[in-house]
Amino acid sequence: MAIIERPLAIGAGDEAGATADRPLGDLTRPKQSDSWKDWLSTVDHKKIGIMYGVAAMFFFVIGGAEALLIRLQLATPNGTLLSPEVYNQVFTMHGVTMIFLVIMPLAAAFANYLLPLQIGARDVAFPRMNALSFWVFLFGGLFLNSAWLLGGGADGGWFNYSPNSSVTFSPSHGIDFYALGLQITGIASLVSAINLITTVLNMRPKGMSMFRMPIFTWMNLVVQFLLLFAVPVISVALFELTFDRLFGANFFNTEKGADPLLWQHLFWIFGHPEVYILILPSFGIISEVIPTFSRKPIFGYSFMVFSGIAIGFMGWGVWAHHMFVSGIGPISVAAFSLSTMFIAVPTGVKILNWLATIWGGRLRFTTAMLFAVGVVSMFTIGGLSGVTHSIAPADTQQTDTYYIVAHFHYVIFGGALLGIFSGFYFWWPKMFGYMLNERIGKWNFWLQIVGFNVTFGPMHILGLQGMSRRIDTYDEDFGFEFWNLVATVGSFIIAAGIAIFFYNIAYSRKEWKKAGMPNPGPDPWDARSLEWMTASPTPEHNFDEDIIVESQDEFWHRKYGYDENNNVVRIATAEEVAQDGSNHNVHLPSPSYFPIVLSLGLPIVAYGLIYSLWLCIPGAALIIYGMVGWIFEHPDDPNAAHDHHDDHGDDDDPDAVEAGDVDVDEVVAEAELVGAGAETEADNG
Amino acid sequence: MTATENHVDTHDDHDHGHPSDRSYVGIAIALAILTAVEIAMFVAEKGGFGDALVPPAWSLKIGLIALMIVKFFIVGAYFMHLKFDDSILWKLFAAGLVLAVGVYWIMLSAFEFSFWNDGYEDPGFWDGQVEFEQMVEDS
Amino acid sequence: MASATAVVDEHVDDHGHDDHGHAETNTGISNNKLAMWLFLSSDCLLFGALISSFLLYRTNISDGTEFEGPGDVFDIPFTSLSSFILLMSSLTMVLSLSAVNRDDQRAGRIWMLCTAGLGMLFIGGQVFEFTEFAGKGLGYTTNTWTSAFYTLTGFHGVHVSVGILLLLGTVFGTRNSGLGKEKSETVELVGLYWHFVDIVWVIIFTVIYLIPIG
Repeated sequence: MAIIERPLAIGAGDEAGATADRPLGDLTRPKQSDSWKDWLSTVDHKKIGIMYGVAAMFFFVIGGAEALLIRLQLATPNGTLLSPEVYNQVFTMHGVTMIFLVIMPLAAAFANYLLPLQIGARDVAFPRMNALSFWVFLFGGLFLNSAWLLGGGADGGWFNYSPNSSVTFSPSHGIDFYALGLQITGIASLVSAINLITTVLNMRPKGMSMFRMPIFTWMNLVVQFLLLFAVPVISVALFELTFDRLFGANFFNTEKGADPLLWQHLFWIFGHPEVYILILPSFGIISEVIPTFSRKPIFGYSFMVFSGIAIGFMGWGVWAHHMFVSGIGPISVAAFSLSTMFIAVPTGVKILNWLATIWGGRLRFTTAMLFAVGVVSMFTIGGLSGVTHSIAPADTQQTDTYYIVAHFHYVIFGGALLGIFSGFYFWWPKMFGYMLNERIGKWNFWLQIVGFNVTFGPMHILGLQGMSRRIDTYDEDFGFEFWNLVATVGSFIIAAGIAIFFYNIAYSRKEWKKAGMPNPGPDPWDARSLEWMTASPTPEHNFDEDIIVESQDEFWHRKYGYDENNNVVRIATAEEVAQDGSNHNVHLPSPSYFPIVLSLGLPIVAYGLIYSLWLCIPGAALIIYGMVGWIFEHPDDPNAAHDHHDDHGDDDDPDAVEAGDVDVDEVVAEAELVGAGAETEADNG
Repeated sequence: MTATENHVDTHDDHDHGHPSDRSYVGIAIALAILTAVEIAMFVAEKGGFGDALVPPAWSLKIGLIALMIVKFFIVGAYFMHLKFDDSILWKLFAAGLVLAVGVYWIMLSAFEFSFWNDGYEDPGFWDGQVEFEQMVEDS
Repeated sequence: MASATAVVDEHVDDHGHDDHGHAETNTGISNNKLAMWLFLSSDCLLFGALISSFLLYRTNISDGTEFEGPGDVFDIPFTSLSSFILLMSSLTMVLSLSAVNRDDQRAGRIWMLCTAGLGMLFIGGQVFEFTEFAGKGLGYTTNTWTSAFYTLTGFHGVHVSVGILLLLGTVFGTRNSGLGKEKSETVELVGLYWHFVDIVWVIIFTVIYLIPIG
């Protein structure tokens, strides 16, 4: 991937280059290279985005396998494939994996890759902290899944309600892995939220005002704010759970008069914003895809932005609709019921705007567009069944039945995941330099959407028939057999669709190589936003020179103008407008090993808390080593061709600040943020 | 800080608004006095100044909370420079603060927790549960 | 970017900052400072959850213990003193920043060490208080009140300790490079964190210690 050859340092830089930068006497500052080691030390937001994607797809396969096990178990009455204990673990880990280790990191993959590009920046505000986020997430996810090898996963549902999550009712270490693993991935989310918000607020080039940013960037900004505020809530809940289980605290100990509803409240105060954390990135993706393939600007840009913000705000006031049957009292139920009905309004605005964008457009049904339309239709179904839950008396009937399972799969699979697949097909050429095959892509889409409806559609019926969630089997005469079998068949159709997606990657790549690796060009879809204004795959420095933005959909307006009859006419080709990525004199932030070192310490501390506190010492030592090394390592390698700044670099060039200045302030500030993020962990040990 | 195109001459308004060391000390003294008042109120409530001067419980709570808020904002405005910095920082911090107060207030309300009650009484799982249990006991 | 046209200039950013030396970023605030404020904003939710957990259990005290209420164990004069110490450490912190802004390195370091010292006094007081409580039979696992109390004040204590490490790190980590005016932002960021920890204690002191329960 490393496209940029660093220019050799000349003159005085030569002497400096003779000694390697070894802040702690070891871990030589890595240089950029093509080897796999480059990936361990990279601070490039694009590589980090790709790694997020790869890691998430790895967990997606695990979570998908768990889903298939669930469906196999339920395919026939009195299934014996899984014991009740194992079944509990499988559905719990399926939920936890899909939410925290698949959808969230896939959204993070797109956000990391695209946010700086869409606003026209060279990188994120804190490149090393970006690497830290990824590694912390990866090790947290691996830690969480290592429970399978160490006595079984968590078994209390993805929300692990107390007191069911206490040692008494769940004596294995599964829930400890859950609590600590999510704590670790929470640190990753928090660090990345701070990083991306700072990037969007601070690093836009000239003319890129907030209301010229693409919708995808806007939705992700809202998501990062939601993460910023929601993560600490779940952190506290998880700390309380951990302390209860490992150190005998009494937060959820009903024997000592604790109120188990405390967990439910804290969990859902986090959990409902979390729902929007999952869905809004996907809304952002299709808000890019639909205008591109309708050849129209997004309908009601400001409505899209404000409805996203409104969803973000209102998402904080609806959490107790998950708790209508927990006895929170009629006033709470009424209030949360109302607020839940209201939150459907901004979501409806969005759906209307997508439809209005499609209306009268010149449509091209590429795979990306098909997936996007899939999101609009499937999410609408899921949203409508969601509104039925807001009516508390109806919800009382539906709670804990398969109707709920159907609902949240329609929004998370039908909404979030399909949107992410739309993003895959749309941005694949930008990320990897070749197009995914459209014909296979359509097979992928149709299998996925048909399989999805065959799987989750019947669950509405099962739920209304009274089949409860989370039961490991059912009897023959309950009348559940037929639709369960249908759902199981559907789940394998989905699996086939996903398998075809992986095949498509391999096939398209092979064909592309056979054809002599043709470049798809900067703008294969005739798209609108800035990421298409640079070469494909994106060069390491993103843009050759700063883009001065003069309008929303800047790239489009550079390609198209109006003739005297006010008709849209092409005024330039994409190749003429786009930058060719040939500027090799851009100074980039230097790679670093310390993010991965620091992150490696976190799971070790977590294992220590579970098995032996002694193990916390090497873990903490690794964290401290990583932090100290981080602080004393310049954010920028002083040996790496420092003064070869690109020629347009004025003093107020934002990239100069981001990449050029070695600044102790930044080092210490980063360390503070790292320290503050890790301190929660230190408190454990 | 709203957009003010016409104050070109006050270009370094980030620095010149900061209080002097002397005013920092003054602010600290004010904070110390407020803390002393808080403690005096506490002592008075315990009867430390004689029974005649015991304030009613509600006034004590209102007073202490008010003083707490005043101290909070003094430290935020002056020591953390929110008064002198770009208002976006204040808005960001206020977002977290308001959200925290809001959601946790609602959460505690859902527990039928009342800050003004001195004891926590189990409201029962459903309306009338306590009365019902009492009735069962009586019969 | 002096070449930017006037049309573009109007839209340079929507926060309306003027060109006053900090113009590298759209908001006019450095990335570091913005990030620190975002972190502090997020931390409000963390302490909010801890404080409300405590409030929920604040009357849940009698189980397994002899005494009637927290009033029996709280030593208000002692806690008042340590609250006062923490409050004054905020003063020494701003004095340090003010000295660094004047390029007075020596005073800057001394005030920062004072701040760290006051912080250590506070932590010492907290350790003393915890031992006292434990001596009276109030362990971490005794009842819901003690769990919530120790967790809340413990989290605050960890925040203070991290602050002390940041202060000492800044004082000793800049021995070679100097603590001149150019470091004022570093000191400012450490200070922001420190003051935040202080205002959290302002809340804890009132809500947990001073407001009486029945």
